[in-house]
Amino acid sequence: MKLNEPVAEVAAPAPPGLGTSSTAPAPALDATRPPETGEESRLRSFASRRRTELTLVLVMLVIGIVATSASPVFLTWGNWKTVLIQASFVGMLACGMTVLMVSGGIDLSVGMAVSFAGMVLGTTLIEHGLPLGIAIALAILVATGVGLVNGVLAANSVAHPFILTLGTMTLLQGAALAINNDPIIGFPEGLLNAMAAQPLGIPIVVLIFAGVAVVCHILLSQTVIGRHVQALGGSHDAARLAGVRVQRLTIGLYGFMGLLVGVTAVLMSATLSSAGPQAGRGMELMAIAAVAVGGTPLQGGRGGVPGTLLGLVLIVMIGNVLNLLSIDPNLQYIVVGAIIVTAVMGQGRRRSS
Amino acid sequence: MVTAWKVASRRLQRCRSPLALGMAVLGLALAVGACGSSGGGSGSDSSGSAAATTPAATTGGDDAAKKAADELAKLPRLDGKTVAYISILPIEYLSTSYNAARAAVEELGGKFEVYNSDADPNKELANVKTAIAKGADALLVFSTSPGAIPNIAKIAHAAKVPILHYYSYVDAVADKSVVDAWLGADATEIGRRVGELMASKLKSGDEVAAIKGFPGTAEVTLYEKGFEEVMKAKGIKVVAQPTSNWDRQKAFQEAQQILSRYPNIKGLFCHNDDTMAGCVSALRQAGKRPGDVVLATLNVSPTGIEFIKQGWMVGGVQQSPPLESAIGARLIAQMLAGEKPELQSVNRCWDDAATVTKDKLASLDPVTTWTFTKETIKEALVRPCVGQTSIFAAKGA
Repeated sequence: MKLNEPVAEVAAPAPPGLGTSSTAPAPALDATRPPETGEESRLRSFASRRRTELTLVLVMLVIGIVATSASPVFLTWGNWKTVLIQASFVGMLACGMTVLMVSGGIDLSVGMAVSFAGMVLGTTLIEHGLPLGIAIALAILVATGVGLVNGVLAANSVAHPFILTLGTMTLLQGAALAINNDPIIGFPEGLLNAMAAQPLGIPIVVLIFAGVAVVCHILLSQTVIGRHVQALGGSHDAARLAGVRVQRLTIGLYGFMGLLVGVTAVLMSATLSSAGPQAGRGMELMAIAAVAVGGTPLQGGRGGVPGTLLGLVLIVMIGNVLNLLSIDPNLQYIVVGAIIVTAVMGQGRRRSS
Repeated sequence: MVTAWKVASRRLQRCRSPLALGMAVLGLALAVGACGSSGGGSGSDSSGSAAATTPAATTGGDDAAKKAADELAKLPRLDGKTVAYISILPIEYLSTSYNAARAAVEELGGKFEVYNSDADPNKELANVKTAIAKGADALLVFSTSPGAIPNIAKIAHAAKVPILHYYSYVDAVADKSVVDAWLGADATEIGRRVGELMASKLKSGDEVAAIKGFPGTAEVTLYEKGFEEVMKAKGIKVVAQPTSNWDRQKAFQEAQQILSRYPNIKGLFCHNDDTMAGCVSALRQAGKRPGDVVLATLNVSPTGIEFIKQGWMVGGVQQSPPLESAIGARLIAQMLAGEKPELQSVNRCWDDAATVTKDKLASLDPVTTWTFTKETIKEALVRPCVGQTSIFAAKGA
């Protein structure tokens, strides 16, 4: 049984007035209806458990139908490659952020950590002439180190990680600028060509992102660590009493987030063939938005990678569709905001139950 | 418009389910969108509203108008072509730039589209690809970072789409194989001129500060460099240079802190007119009066002109997004017609008017001001640049 199922099942059979949506009354209490078959019951249970994902798919379908009828480009593989590449960088951060947020944590510094790790790669590779492999390893190690420091701070402080990582975010912005005030350009042509590779017609960065998503999903839903992560998000004290090594787990999770930051920074710098002290600015908010739209609450305890992936694709897809429909950029903010609010509201009261 | 708003509001009030509430929010947003699009805001609307506010000085007599019309008729047309503008953020400079580019491209018969990158290099790259996939024939790019330009240009050239880049000048851009054309002003020279404006009212030993724009961008570094050069030469001390990230509120806070930490500060260079508004607010709150602290910056936008009129700013160094964009559209049209235009930089296109003080406000060249009209765009499209310098030529290309 999947680890996030019990929470969903508790929410599913609740009678009207006790938390379920008024549009889905419990059948057992409705005397005018014939009793449900097992298949119907399973379907209803699935719909209830997967309400978030189904809502996001529904919203995407509606947007997709509108986009397909208005633009011949929308359904082309070339366009979807653009969407998926754009989603991949934030997506890797969002997968790590999902694990972190399910545990009740959050890391606001990931965007600036991407900038910082990218600048470490750029300066070691271009300005100091280190071999490519060593420069990449250093960038990833530095980012993992930053994550571990965030973890140590979060595990040993009464302050919320939101505030702690806000501090490290500012610190990392300064550190990235201290390396170089200007973007570092002139990455090896071979690196750019490597990032342009498309095994089986799929961009390499999308394949790496898919791998990261699978690892995060398995980690969260199929392992003991995942069970501990959910327990930690549900109740810090209860998890401790149940024998979860809270401090060690917290440090490890932030370190894992740092590792993904490092991988993202390397892939992004290689794809853009440059590193900039502001390159990762705003990525943290987009990653958190994808996780939240995907159904993981800010207080933690539940959630999963599939929802995050849908939330992420929805957000990126909206931007793509609005561009394809030539919607004025200023109006795009309103439409994007409204669609996200609609998607979140459509997930119903399960969040609050 | 009002009806759409009312309907959406009523739906919002009647909502019973969260999904319905969400849909109502979407409806409300679309109503707002409808308000926006019907009320103005697009490039053509901007030029229309500008037409209502700009003095009739835009026309330089019948002869000049006829000459401009003749020259305009000789320009290659953009009929059936689409020009895409890849922008960074919806700030005043950039929205003026792309609205003017829209007016210029449409004047030449072309179609115009604008994409906003939200200062995100990944989104910028995706926007470039989407624009090309949609069939853009040429790109006008205001890139998030000079580091991103070579990669963007590579993608554009692979699709045989010419690319013209605004600002963010770095050596890599000077290679003609990277971008087909570059437009922008000499940022170091702008910094110097701001410094000279300020130094003209100060004496050796005075203390000044600067509130920089977005750190890590090419222009900001060069403004700083040019400004510091002059200050050093005049013996004026630059005591602080915090950043505003081009945010007016942050500029306000930083200016407050500077005034508190350095009560004898004599000059303040906030890196554009928009952040200057934050600096002026901080001075007002500190009880300062116009002229107490010497202010100077770049842009000379409508906001800056007001500050010069009020005496807050000693002057400004003019930039002209409408002229830049009109010349950009002209270069694109020439390139698409197979011509190889000589002009690669507009450094000196409006050099005489570049430093604007109160006494020069009445005689501002309408083609270079930010409130463009259909007529000024026509004039800008054929405006020759006296003493123009080509960065590519300077690099020996």
